[in-house]
Amino acid sequence: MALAPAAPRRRTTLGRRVRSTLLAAWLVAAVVVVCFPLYYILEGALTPTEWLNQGLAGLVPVHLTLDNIIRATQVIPLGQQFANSVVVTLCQTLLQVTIGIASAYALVFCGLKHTRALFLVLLSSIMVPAETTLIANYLTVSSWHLIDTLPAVFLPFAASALSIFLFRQAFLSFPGELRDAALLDGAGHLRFIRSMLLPVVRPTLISVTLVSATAAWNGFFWPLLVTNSPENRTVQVGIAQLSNVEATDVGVVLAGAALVTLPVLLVVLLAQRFLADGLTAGALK
Amino acid sequence: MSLRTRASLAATAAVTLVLALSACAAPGDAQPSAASGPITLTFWHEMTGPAATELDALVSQFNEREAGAITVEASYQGSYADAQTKYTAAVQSGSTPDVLMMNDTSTGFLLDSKKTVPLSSFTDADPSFSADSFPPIVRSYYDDGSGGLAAMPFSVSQPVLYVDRALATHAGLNPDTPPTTLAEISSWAEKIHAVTGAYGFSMNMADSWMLEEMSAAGGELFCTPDNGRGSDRATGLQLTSPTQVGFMTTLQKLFLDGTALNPGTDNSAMVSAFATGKVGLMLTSSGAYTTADPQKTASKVAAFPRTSNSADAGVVIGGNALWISGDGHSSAQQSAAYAFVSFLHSADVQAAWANATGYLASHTGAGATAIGAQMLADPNAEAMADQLANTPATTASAGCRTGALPALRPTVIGAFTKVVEGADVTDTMRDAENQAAQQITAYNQAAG
Repeated sequence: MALAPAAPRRRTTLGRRVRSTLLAAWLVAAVVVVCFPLYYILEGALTPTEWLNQGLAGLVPVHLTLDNIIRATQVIPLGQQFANSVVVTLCQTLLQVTIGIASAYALVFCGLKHTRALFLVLLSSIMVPAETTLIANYLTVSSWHLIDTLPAVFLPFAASALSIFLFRQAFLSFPGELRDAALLDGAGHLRFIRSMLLPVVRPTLISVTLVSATAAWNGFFWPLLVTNSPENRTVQVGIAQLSNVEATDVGVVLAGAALVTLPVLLVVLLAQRFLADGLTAGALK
Repeated sequence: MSLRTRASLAATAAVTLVLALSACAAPGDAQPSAASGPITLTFWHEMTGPAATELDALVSQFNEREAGAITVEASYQGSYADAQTKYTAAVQSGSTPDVLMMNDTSTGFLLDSKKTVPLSSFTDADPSFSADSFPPIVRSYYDDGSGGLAAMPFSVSQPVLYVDRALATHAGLNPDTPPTTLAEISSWAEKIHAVTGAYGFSMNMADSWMLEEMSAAGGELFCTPDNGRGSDRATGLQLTSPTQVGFMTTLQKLFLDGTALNPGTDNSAMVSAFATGKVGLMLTSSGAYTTADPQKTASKVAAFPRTSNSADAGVVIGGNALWISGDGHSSAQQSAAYAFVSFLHSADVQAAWANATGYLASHTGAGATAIGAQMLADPNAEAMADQLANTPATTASAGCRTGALPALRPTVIGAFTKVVEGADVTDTMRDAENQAAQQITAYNQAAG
C-alpha cells in the first residue's frame, strides 16, 4: 500500500528537476548569446590587435593593456567629443521629455476641441522617413548659420512625436477622479503635473527618457552632416574615424566601441531599478 | 482665460510663426572672400585610421610651409557615400568645400554635377606641371575628355594577387613563379586545397569591383559604349562576352567545389583569413597588404592575372582624387586649392603617403625619394609599383565611367552571388545587364 503513492511523487520530483535543469540550460545559453558581444567588445578593447587577429585565442583575457584606448584618443579628441555627446544627450532628452509632457497634457487635460485630428497629424509625422527630410533640414539649419555648432545637432530633434504619443497614452489612463479632486483643491497645471501626474506615470516617464537618451546618444548621420570640426562633433562620429576598411586595427575600433557603449549600459542598468520601483508606486490605493 | 494670458499666448504664437517662416528665406549667396590676404581652405576627406593620422600630418606640413598665407582645415566626412550626400546638400546651401576628396567610382557623378573646376584649367597655366609625373593608367583614368585631368589623383590602388608562401610550398608549387592567368590560378587553388586542406582561393566579393577588374584584365569593356569615356554617356553594362562568361564559369567551379572561400561582404574577414594562413591565393586590393602580411615575408605579391590574351588587357586603378570646387569660390581660393593639391601630388608626399597607408604612389618620381626607395626594397611593394607603371592605358583598363556606377555594383554582385551558388552564368548575368541598363537610364535622365 505504501509503494503506490511513493512512485508518483518520485516521478513528479524527477520531472520537475528535469524541467528546471532544461530551463536553466536554456537561460544560460540565452545569457551567453546576449552577453558575448558585450564581453567581446570589452575584452577586445583591452587586448592588443595581434592577439585579436589570432581568432579564438584572442578571446581569453590574458594580455590586458590600455594601449588601444590611448591610441584611440590620439586619432580623435575623444574627451571633447564625449563631453559634446553628453551635452547633446542631456539637452535633447530634456527637450523631448518636457515638450512631450506639455503637449500630451494639452491634448488630454485641457479640454481642447479636435485633439484627435491634431494627434493624428502628429502621429503621421513619424511615418515620414528621416532620409526624405535630411537635405531640407540641412538647408534650414544652414540658413540659420548654425552649421558646425552643437545646438544644430539637437535642435531639430527638440520635439519627438513618439514621446508625445507615449505620454498621451499614459495620461489617458490617469484616473479622472484624481484630476477632479486636484481641480477642486485649486491646484494649478504645474502643481498638478509635478505632484500627482508624473508620480503616477513614472514608468512611462522613465521609458521615454531612456528611449530619447539612447536615440540622442546613438545619433550618427545628422551630427556628421551638420558639423565639420572634430571639436564640435559627437563621439559616435569620432569613433567612425577609427575603423579603416582595409587596414583595420581591431583593438582600437573595439576600444572606441567600448567607450561609446559603456555610458548607455550604465544608464539603462540604473534606470531599470527605477523602472521596477515605478511599476508598484503608482497603485491606486 | 484672462485677456492678459490670451494676449501673451497670441504674441508667443506670432513670434514662433515668424521664426519658423524665416527658415523659408532663400539662402544668401556665399560671398567670395577678398582676393588678397590670408586664405583659409576647407578640405573634406574620408580617411580613417592610420591614413587619417598621416593626412593630418601632411596638412600640417603644408600649413607650416605656407606660413599663414594659406591655411587648410581638413575635416573628416564619414564614408564616401556620406560625403557625397553632404556635398549635395552643401551645393544647395552654397557651402561647398574648397577641396573635396572623392573616390574613383564617384568620378562620373562629380563630372555630371559640373560643380568642380577641371584640373586641366590650372595645369595648362602651370609651367612646372608635367603630365609624365603620373603613370599612364592614372592619367587615363582621370582624363577629362580633352587630354587633361579632371581632378588631381591622390590615392591609387590596384588589385593584385597574394600567394601564401607556406601553403604554396606545401602543395609543391613555387611561390616565386606565381600564376599569371586565371586558369593557372584555378589549378594552383585546386592543388593547394587538395594537398593542404586550406582554402585555395578567395577574392573580394563586397561589390562587383573584382568582376570589373577581371573584365579589364581580359581587354573587355565593362560599360558600353566605350566604357562611358567616349563622347556619349554609358548606357549599359557588358557582362556576357565570351571572356567574361569564361572567367565567371571558372570562378563558379572553384566556389561550388569548396576550393574557394566566399567572404560575402566582409573583406576584412577574408584578409584576416589570409593573414592567418587559411587561404592560399587571394585577389584583392594592394591596399590590403599591410593587414594581409604585416611581416612582409609570408606572402608573394604578384600582378593581377589576365583573363585573356588581348593586347588591351590591364587592370583599372582605384583610390581617390582631389576635386577643386568652382561655384562660390573666388579665383584666389581656387588657385590656393591648386597649390594644395599640387603639394599633395609631389614625389616626397606621395612616397610618405604610400608608406603610411599602403596606397601606391601616384607620382612616378616617388620611387626615387629616400622613403620611396626604402619601400621598394620590399619585392612585394616593387611588384605592385611595377604593375602600376606598366599597365597599358587602353579603353578597357581605363575602367567604366558612369555616375550610376555605385548603384550598379550591388546589382552585378547580387547576380554573381547567385552564379557562385550554381545558377546559369549567361542567363543570370543577362538579367543583371537588363537591370543595370534600366538603372543607368534612370540616372542619365536625372542627371540631365
